[in-house]
Amino acid sequence: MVTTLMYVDPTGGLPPPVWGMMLAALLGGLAALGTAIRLWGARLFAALRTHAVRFVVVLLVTLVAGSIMGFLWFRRPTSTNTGATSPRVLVLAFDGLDPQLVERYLADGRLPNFARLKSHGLYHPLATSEPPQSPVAWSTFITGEPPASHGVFDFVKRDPKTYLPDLSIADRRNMTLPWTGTPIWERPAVARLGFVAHRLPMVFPPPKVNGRVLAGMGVWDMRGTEGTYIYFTTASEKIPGARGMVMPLTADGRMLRGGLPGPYRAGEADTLREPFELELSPDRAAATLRLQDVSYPLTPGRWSDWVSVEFRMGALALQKAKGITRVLLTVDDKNISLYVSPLQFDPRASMYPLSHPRSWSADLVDAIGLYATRGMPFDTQAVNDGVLSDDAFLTQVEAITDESERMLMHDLPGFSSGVLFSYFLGSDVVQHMFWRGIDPESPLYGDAETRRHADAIPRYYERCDAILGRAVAAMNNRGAVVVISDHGFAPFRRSAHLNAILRDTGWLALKEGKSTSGELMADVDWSKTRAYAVGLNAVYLNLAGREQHGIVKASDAASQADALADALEQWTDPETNARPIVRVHRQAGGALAPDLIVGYVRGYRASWETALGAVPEKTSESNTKKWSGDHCIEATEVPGVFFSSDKSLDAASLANVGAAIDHYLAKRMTGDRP
Amino acid sequence: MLFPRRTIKLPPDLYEQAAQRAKELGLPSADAYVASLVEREVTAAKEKALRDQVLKQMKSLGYME
Repeated sequence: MVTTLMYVDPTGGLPPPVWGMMLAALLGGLAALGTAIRLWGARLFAALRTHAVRFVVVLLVTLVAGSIMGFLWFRRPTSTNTGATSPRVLVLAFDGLDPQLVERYLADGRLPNFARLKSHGLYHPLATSEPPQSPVAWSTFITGEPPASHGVFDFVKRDPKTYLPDLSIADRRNMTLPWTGTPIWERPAVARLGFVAHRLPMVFPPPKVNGRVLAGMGVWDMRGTEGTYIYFTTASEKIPGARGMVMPLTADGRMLRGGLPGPYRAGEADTLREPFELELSPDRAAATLRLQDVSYPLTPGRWSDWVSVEFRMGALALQKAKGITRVLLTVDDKNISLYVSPLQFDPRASMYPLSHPRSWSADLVDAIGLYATRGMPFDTQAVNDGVLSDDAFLTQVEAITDESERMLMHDLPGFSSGVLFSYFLGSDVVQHMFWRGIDPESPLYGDAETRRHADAIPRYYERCDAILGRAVAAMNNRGAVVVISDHGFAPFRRSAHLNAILRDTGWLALKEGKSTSGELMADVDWSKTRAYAVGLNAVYLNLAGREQHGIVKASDAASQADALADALEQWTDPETNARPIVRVHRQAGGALAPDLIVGYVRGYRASWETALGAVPEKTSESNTKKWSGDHCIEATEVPGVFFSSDKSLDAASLANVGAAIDHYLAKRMTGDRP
Repeated sequence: MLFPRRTIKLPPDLYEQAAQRAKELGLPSADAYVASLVEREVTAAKEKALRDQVLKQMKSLGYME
């Protein structure tokens, strides 16, 4: 029987061939014109001859009027700004900004602008979503609803009919928003005053708003993934477990050649390659990359400027896909390598809309230059895989943070009413990758590379502080400034192999003769399995009538879920004697919802293997990856932060922030203090 | 039938073996046996491609490997 995947992108990253549709429309139009001329041609030409002058005048007037209307349409204001005195709220969203660290660095005097905001306004930790994962939390911010209502429960969702997982940050199958509910931009005052957002998570494809939205987390790369890096190298050694594409770089003296892999359709051959040449200077201190008749100067060890590439596909190669990337050349005594950051859609000519209005993604390029369009644009996988250094990663973080800041500073002068939302993901990824530098219990704490970047996190917090300072100055005391984060952070020292724990406690069974299972629960015996884990906090009952091979009766589901929750909360790590699971929550929300959400204590997280539905031998182990900080634990352990410049604009939880902003704006619109 | 069946050529001895195996399995002909084998293989390949695609997308996130 063919396994049907419910959510997998059916295109591998490509939309339908629009050229084909345009060609069909053109041919249809020509056919209609031909028919009209055949039927009424003689009368038409006679009338034209008689009224030639009138016809030309009407034609000219129509053309001029059409041009003016078109110009006005494209230049129309995209929000209902009502002047400089209208109420406005600037929301700076620093993903993962942690209250414990904020308070530590405030005490150290490292965050003067946050200190000023706190002293003139207010600050407190912000209750986040359960589980505290960004897709869940930002959907909660957008809708003001809990996961049971908006329908995003974890980074990962699964199809109960196939048990196969998929990411929940975009709805690839239907190309609709991945959550349900009434978004913040449809709240009465926000809708009236306008909403502008840079890199807003969970809005791909971008929705129509009274204003402008540039989509962030959820936008995939040109290969239909969250980011597939390409690593060309002259080395013959394999890179075990590499999650990117490792490809040969063939050398001929100082000239090297390779083929850049383009997009492909799932189920079809992945053969589209764009050839390039790389010429090293005689002293190997510089190089030139030649791609599609354009030369790009490269310096080993330094990121290139943006490199553009155009792939042509389909019948007669009429369909075009334009992408951008940055590359990093490495030259040592033995090998030459060219790291290509995941190919992203070119915001000037993207195959998918990246913004609303669609043209805004290109307008932004005119304003601030080219920028990363991938929703999660940081190459964390390449760092974990050992093909990208900490230095190169931090340079990338700085460049992308700079883009976001330029977007913010470009839009602030024209921001006269409503909400301006500006999103920074760098705070999240720097903490994921460099927590090892501030955690003496991390296995990598004493590592030389870690010590060299031990201040990466506090420095990024200072960067956030500087952005806040510039934004507050530009706001010039008119309107409110709010700073939020979707969750905090914690060390990730040990992994819990949740499926192995379920196996050892009798909830999950493996096929005859097996003691472990590979990814996607390949060797699970569903006829004897009562529960399974996939994703970062989710556990599902193998429920009859819902799961393809479910065995837990609906009438027993509640008691089974309670028993499983107890078993997990009681489970003890045999290597440390610690209890890694502090609380297990029951979850409602329909067939796609997990039955249980597992809340880990600080220091633990679901293992890398659990997330993909694997069942290893051991039930726990140390995390020795550079990815050493995390937040996918118990929500109360990692709240976010809330700062407001106006004490009358306050919210206790992320779910209430949208309503509080709308209320603040509404009161200001009527002239009352909220 | 709008589209006629396609013919696949097999070496005669292999065809004989396929016919024998079809008889053992209670299938009506060697053609039916070969068709069932090809269908199974193509289905497995498609399933593997889809699973690989799922894993590729999941692993590209950074949170899992």
